[in-house]
Amino acid sequence: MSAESSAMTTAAPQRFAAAVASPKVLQHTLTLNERLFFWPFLKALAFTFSRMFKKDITRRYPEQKMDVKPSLHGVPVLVMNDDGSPRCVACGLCEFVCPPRAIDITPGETDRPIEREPKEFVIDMLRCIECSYCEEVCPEEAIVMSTDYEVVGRRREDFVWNLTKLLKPIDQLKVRLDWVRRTYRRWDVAAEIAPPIGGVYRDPRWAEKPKPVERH
Amino acid sequence: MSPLTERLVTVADLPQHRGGADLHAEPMEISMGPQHPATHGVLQCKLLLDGERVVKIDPVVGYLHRGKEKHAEHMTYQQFFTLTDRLDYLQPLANEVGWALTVEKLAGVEVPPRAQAIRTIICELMRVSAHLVWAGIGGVDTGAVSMFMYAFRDREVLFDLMDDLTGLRTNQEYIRIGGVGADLDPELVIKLRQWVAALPKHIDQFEMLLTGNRIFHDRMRGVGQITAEQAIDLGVTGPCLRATGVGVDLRRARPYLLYPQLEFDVPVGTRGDAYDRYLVRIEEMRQSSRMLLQLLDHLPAGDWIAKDFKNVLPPKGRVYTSMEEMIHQFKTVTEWCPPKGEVYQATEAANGELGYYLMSAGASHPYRVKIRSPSFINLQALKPMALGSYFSDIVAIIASLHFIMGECDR
Repeated sequence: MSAESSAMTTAAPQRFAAAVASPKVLQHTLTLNERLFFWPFLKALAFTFSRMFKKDITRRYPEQKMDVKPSLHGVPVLVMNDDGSPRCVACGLCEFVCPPRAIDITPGETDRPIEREPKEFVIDMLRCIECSYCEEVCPEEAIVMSTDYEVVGRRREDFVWNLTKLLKPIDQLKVRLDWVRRTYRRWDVAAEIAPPIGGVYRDPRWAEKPKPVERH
Repeated sequence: MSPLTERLVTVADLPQHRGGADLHAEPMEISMGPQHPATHGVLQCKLLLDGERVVKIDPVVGYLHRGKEKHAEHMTYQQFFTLTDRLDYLQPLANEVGWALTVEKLAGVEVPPRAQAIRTIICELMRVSAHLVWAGIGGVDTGAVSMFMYAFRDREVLFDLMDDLTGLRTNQEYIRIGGVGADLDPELVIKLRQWVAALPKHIDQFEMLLTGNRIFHDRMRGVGQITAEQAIDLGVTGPCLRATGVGVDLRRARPYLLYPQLEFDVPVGTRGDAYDRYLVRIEEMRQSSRMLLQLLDHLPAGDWIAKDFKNVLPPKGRVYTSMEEMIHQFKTVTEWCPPKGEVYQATEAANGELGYYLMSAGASHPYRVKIRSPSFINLQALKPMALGSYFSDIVAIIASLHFIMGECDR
């Protein structure tokens, strides 16, 4: 790295000279036609009027909704298993990575094989910037960006979403989950992703593990 | 005398009450901004006017100060990307690329060619996007209101394409250390290519509306003129420097990404006035579209993020099933520490040299970050440009300098 930077400094004056040597000089002086301003004026007017008959680029938003693409970052939501339990194991990685610190997790224990689950999971949607970092770091595919991009409310409390409000059935998030699997497999194109078993990406043998002893 | 003025004449205006007949004009102090629509954000200019002439101008910055450099000391390297987006909010991804290059230079991360090509494409798209806003707003400032619609038409379509790529229209958190967040789909490449191919035609339309327009020309020509020496002394970079005739472009002078392999011209002006700055920016859009066509036609295949377990998050599928990748996932997010050291990396942003000076103590967050923002330094040229000009020229000068207060105040 240091060798590269020193090479850069020695070569810099030559490169600098090369940069200065070949610029494209721009000049524009008004022609008589432009000075008189009559024809250019008419031309510009004609151009503006001709736009009236062109197709609109914009859309009439509240009536006409945005196209929902799989890559769209809506607000983050939690994936709910078919039995209604959260897939989240309350590892706290999303809480750590969240740049505006919008996530607040209270972890708890559960009798399910995953042993840990969030007792409470709060996302402050007023702080959330929809960057999708939480989704990228989640090791359980438990938090994903939804297609819901319109978050409205009358009070500040309306934007503080708790566990009950955040949990979304897995069927509603299929498109995004597919996108996540495809995109975040990165260079590992051949990697097979284990299908969800009971909603959790685990080896089926692990489910047979005896229940841990009561802790004191 | 009209009936109106007759009515307004009072006893105090009679010659014997006026205290001497000479109309001695005192300099008038005027505050322009921080909520003036023509100051492009929250800039306040304290002006002293002698009639219509500006005798003193004092730009007051800091209204949009958000302490980004200080915030960086409390954020991980990946988290700081979200704040660089908000520097120059007209070209969020170009700021991200600058930060990524800085961190990668420090940590010695190799970026695969495809990721570099995507980053170069993004930098050029953002340059066009920022110049489009400049053309639109600059048109409004100088009276060409319809220009705004045409410039924002192209920008709107680009935003939709960015939505396809990154999931967000603006402030996309797309760049990662070691590459980019998602791949550029072949379908999207075709759509981008269509947009880029249509761009020169649209720039011709802008030129038809503005370049030969006598009102626009007379409003910009000879306004806010500085010499090359003055510009270099003040540290002005980017289109504002090139308009004075100095053809320094960091893409040529200190190449980064794939710029050494691309064919493009560096446009320069001759006089260094507002009109030349306009011409340079318009030509830069053309050169950008030329570069974009070269890149989109020869996009290298391969990975879009480095295959580097120590610096990049592992593939998702393995994280679910393998213990090793799971540990890497947690370690990379929470404890990714580049070596101790200091680096400076500059990129050619739309407004000039955008540089990050990064000081690392070997921890998971930077020890100190200094952002060399082109807007702040170009703003220093406002004083020599505006002194002696008319009050209404200030608007044209601010429009042609095109500083972004989010980047200026940081």
